[in-house]
Amino acid sequence: MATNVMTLPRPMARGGLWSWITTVDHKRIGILYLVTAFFFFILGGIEAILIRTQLAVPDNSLIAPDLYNQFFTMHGTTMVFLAVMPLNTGFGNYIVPLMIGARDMAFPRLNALGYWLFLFAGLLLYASFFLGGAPNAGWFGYAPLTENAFNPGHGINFWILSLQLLGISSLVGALNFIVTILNLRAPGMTINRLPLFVWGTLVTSLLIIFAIPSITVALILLLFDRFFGTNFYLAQAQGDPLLWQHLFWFFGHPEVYIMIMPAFGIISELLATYARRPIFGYAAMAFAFAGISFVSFTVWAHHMFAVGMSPVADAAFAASSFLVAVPTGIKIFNWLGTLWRGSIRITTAFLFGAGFIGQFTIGGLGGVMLATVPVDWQVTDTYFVVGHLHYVLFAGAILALFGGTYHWFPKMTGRFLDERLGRIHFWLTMVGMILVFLTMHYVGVLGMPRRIFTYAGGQGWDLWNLIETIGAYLVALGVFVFLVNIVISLRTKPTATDDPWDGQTLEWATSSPPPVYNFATMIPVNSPRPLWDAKYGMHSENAANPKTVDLSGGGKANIHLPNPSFYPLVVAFGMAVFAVGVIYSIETSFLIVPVGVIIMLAGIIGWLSEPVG
Amino acid sequence: MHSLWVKLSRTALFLVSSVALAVLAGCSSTQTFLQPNSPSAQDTANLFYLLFVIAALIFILVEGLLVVFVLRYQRRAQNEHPEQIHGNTPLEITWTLIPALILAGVFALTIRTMASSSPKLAPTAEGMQINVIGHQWWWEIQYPDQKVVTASELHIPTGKVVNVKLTSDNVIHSFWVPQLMGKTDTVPGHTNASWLYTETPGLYHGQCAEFCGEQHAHMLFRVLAQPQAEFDAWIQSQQVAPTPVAAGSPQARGQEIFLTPAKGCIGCHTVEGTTAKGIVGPNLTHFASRDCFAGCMVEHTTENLSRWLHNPQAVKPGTLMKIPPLTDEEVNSLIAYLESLK
Repeated sequence: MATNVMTLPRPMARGGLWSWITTVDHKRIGILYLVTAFFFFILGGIEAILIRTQLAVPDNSLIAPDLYNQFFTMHGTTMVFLAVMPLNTGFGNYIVPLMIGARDMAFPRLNALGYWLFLFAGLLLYASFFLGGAPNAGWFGYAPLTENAFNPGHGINFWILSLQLLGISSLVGALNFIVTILNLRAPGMTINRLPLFVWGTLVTSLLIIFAIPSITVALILLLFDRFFGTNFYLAQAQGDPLLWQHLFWFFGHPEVYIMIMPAFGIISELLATYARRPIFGYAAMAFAFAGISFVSFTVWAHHMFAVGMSPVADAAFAASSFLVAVPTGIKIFNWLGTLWRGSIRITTAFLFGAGFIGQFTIGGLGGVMLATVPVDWQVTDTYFVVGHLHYVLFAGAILALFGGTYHWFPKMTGRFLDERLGRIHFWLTMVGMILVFLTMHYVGVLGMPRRIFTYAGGQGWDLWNLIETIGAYLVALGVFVFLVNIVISLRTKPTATDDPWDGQTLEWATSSPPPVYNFATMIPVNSPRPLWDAKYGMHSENAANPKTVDLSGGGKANIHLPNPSFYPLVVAFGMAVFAVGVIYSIETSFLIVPVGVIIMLAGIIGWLSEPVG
Repeated sequence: MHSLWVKLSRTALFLVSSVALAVLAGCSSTQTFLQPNSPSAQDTANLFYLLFVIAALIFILVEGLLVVFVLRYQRRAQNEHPEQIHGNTPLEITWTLIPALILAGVFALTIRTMASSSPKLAPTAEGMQINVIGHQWWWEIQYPDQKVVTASELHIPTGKVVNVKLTSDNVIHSFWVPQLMGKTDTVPGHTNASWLYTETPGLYHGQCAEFCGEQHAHMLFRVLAQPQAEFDAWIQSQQVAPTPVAAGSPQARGQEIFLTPAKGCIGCHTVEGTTAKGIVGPNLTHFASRDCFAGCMVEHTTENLSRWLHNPQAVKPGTLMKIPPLTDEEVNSLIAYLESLK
């Protein structure tokens, strides 16, 4: 093996902090994503509680207007980019390679890069609170409010650079998932035998590839306006604020599907497993994933019905928005079909999955109302939309993610989450969530606009706002119970077997947690449910006497693994320094920028030339 | 299982009765399109009710099936192995086609209601013209043909179409008076159009509906619909110059302070017939005739005026009205002057 004085040997530690910093193992990276994202979820939740407390009573002066605007901006940005998306990536990272019978992701170091970029981007964004103020123009950052003329200071700059880092993180992760899913499937697992969670991750990754470039461009143009005096969004010089809206929403609408598709996949896994049934209508479910993804790129201007587009444009975007409801409805009915005449075991994971069906339906129906243009002209930019978006994202994606946690926690840790605390968490969440977000639809119809730090009393909104705040506190209590559950359960004895839920997919065919190499051997794959077939037979021949399947090899196998590396962290760090350099470019005469570039290049050179190990 | 049934049905009952109560209680609010006073708002409200009924039926179907299935198909024995049903093509086609047909119907209704309720499709272009300009954080209203400029309060005659031209020279705002019309944004660099029409005299509340910065929450306005005669009288009162102040009066003292450049007033405000020709802030020529000020955030009372003039930032943090501190004597004199601007 040729030695090169420029490179360092691969880190070999198996335990301790250093092993986590240099890990390239998809399971560890998945856990890093999940834990970090959950931390940001708590921060976003605190922002939500502050917002709801300020709005609990009219004319409240608990939080000053500019600080309130920072809180709702950070709440939205955090929940979208630092909570839901990385939670999805975390589960995807842990579960997808296992579900397809692979040893790891196709590009393990690239996988690590995605995580470190996410962490640094989140820290950078939150640093803004302490460095002159967080961004305060909303998660959607409409120009020209984000321009220097109306928003001097660094808040918006932190927002721009942090989102760019997150965009790179998402792209890198998406590319990795696509290559992994297309190339590393176990023999026999053709595309039409992918488990639905893998389908969900695949379409999400494709959405990311095509959507993120749009916001990247939008942010670059804004950066140029703010730093180099261009006028892309400034009407005084023949720029156009609507250019931002089109670029943003061309990303922004697929973005909401990026957030929900993995959740759809999780729900399919939950319902099928706990009902002991195949998903009803697998082909339709797969086609629906593809159909929703494609149509999601044609609806973006339904966020812009009030900006003054032509009636023809309004009608066209209304049509496509109605269209996207059809494949979504198919999924709802197929999930019901999965439960019909099934054999349901009610666990906390199942309750979250079942709760999702009804609640997401409400979110979807609200969406149909918003697609109805004249109704939208009245209810857009009111709490009706806030209710709708939180229904699909919280009563949708977050419910699915909670359910996925209860479902896969034994696989990841070898321990079960406590079922009694789980029930309490579930009911607190359901009741609280309905109180907050269903009520918002009503108060929006009563005329309460969104993004307002206070409101005058006596307009018919007071009682409903108070109810919403109470609901928010119940949700927060539920999250606290969930956190307690995790902490307590991690201290119990590991009792989980390979397959505690009588699963159908390959992650349940190995130990809990899996050995670092995942599988020592593999079984034939003849359907989307390879483990189920191996246990019970392709036509339930062995229903009375199921076989046991354990592919873990007892923890020992002669399998070459990707070696740990710290260069992904170095590259991510260099990019973060670059970002800081851009934010402070004027104060530092651009001198920090090359420092970031050098660190990045050093990391890339090390990455390319480090020995295989 | 019994307790689960009890829990589920209690939750369902709670939900259904809360929603029913809320709806039945009559949607009382001062700013809702469900108390419409124009053909546009009425058509929109009708469409909304229809959608609500369809949505409620679909929800009851889905949730009902969910609850029934979860209760009825629970695992009875540890090794119970249900029939492995993979799908049912005729059923799947049906539940694809039926929603598609319902949505096609909703789309058709959408187009029809757009035609009658759209801000962009005024029934005539020959109505009375007003220009509305969004500022941070107040609404400017101009009557170009009558040469009247005011702020926060928009008067319209009943029974006549009023064409509204919407612009902004700063950030995006949104012009929305729910009882009369859906919202339309004011976008820098664009001229948008809306229209108002009502047969019912009265006061209608409006509010900016596009996040526009620190005091977006306090960018309100009022629409007063008046019978033609009253509207004409109002226009005339806005066209005459205010009564000149009597020398030596408190009003004169107030005017003197107001017109002192160092106090900052004339840099932003206009009072016809004086040296105050600023156009950054609201036109104050007939300030005393308006019921609200500061972006219609506060009622026009002496106490509110006093608080505002002493410290606008304390009343509306972030307001662009930045003036040097004033003594009590100066504030009282200014109030006397402003109250003379009828």
